[in-house]
Amino acid sequence: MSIFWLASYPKSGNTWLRAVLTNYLHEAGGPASINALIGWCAASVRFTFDEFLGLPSSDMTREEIMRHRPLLHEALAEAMPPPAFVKVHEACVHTPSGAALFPKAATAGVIYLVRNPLDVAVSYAHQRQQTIDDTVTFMNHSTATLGGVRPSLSTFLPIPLLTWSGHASSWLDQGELPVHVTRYEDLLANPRAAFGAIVRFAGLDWDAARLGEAIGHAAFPRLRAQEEEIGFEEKQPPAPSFFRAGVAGSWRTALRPRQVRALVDAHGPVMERFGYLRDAESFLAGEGAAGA
Amino acid sequence: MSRALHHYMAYGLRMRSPIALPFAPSPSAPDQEPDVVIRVGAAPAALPAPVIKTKVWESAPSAFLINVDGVARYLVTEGRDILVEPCGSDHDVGVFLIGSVFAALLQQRGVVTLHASAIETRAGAVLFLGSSGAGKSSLLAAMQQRGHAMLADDVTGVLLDSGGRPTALSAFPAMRLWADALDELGWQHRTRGRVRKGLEKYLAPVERFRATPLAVCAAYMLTPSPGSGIEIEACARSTAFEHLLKCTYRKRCMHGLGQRPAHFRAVAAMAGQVPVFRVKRPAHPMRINALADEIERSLCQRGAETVSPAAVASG
Repeated sequence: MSIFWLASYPKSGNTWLRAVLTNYLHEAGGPASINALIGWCAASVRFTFDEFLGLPSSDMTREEIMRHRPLLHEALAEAMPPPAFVKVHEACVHTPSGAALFPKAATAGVIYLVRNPLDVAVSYAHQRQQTIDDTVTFMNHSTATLGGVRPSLSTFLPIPLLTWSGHASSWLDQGELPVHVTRYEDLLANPRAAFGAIVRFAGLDWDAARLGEAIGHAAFPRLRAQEEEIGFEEKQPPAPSFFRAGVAGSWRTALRPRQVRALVDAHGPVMERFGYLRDAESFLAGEGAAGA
Repeated sequence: MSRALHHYMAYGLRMRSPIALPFAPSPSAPDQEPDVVIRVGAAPAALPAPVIKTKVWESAPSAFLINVDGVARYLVTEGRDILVEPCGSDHDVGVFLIGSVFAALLQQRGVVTLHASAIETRAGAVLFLGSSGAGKSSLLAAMQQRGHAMLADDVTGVLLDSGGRPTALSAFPAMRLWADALDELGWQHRTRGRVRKGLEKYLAPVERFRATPLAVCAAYMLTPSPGSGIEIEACARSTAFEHLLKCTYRKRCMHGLGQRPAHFRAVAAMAGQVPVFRVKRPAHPMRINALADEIERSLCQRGAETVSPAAVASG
């Protein structure tokens, strides 16, 4: 079989999408547990690397690990029964030996979620428990990497992220793998249409009533209530909670003009491509006018 | 050109190797024939009838073949012979040999390979289970500082003895720690060099090593969790069984060797006889010394405190 990669930069609605897909495919009535979501990040953890490849990632250099990851993705694709969804925050890059990190042979398709980087900065700063300035710097850093930073205590493999826009371009402009791209803002504004298109792209049996129920079960307040009640096992430290606001536009009050400017300067063309640029520019013009 | 032969003892097996392995050799060449013979030569490109075949390794009931890109190709047969075709440094060849390759050999001999470190206590062997990054080696180091002898670092081999009791095999006297763990333990100046070039992982000294097998008296499953608290809770037998299955080292390779039913029986026996605890430890920072203190407290409640001259004298 082959895999549908649920690909996104962090804090872009990936877990929400997984919750909707899980509830859509959930046989029992009632909402599925947030601790049993489909599309777990199996490709990004050391346990699966070691188990599937029979190699000890903890005795290997970052370069050696990267060189072997396409083989892991092929082995996972072979082992997973359909429908196979795997969440990835990795950018769609090439390994040091020039192979595609996500081989065509292992791929059924890519569901790429994109979210306004101004909102990503706010949400991601909360998750990282870092300042917004620090988070903006990270989002603009061309060799940004997640996981494997403290390898002794990380269960994750090193995850190449690139910059926010580098990440989006790596998936959307690669030209090899079929991609369905969805804006987080459209999932919020018109969930039935946006999630429905994803369900169809993934080739799942179509059932409109079922999708409506799934969206209801995976509504943000419900996910947050479950997290408060039973905890979310996938939550990474140090953030106090995973499911936070689930809204669009909070950047307007949370970001300072220079932070908006830094993101616009770094990611303008990709922001424009997804309709995020105009608001940012009028915000900056307004702030400029207010300051004048 | 012939190579000098080295002699080692690990997991109760006498080994003869033309390649130096990254742990202390036996003090003298044994009179008896070795249980495991390592040779250097041309390894086959594929197995004739693999049960599982991947692009890195393949396995059949009595054969396991693995290719470590840039290091070596290894063929393990009949739980006795390891054929190595090196293409990297002897040092690297040894590092991978004592990991995945040796685990396959143990599996061929019917040994249950658990991803666990293990220490000696007064009540028996205590295992610290967990996947890569769970903190097994750091905890092992902290428990050694508290006077416990080491049995194994990364992979603990378990056999059922003649009475059906799970017994932990003594692995080899080598412990590997990442630089940050060394810092936390204050062991920065005690390292014996890097595990491999380019890795911030070091060989750490082993001061107390138990070289003979020991019945298992408890197992602790380490899970990094949100928050700064440390919690230890006893697992129901069915959960214990799941944890032990999950922490089986190289489970897929073992399935390819046809050991699945025997492995199931051994794990079920272990879950039935050995209390298993789930330990939630802070993901970051790990609070290694606080964790070791909590484990020590839990061990004392079970009469499994340190085996040390002082403890023996007062006991």
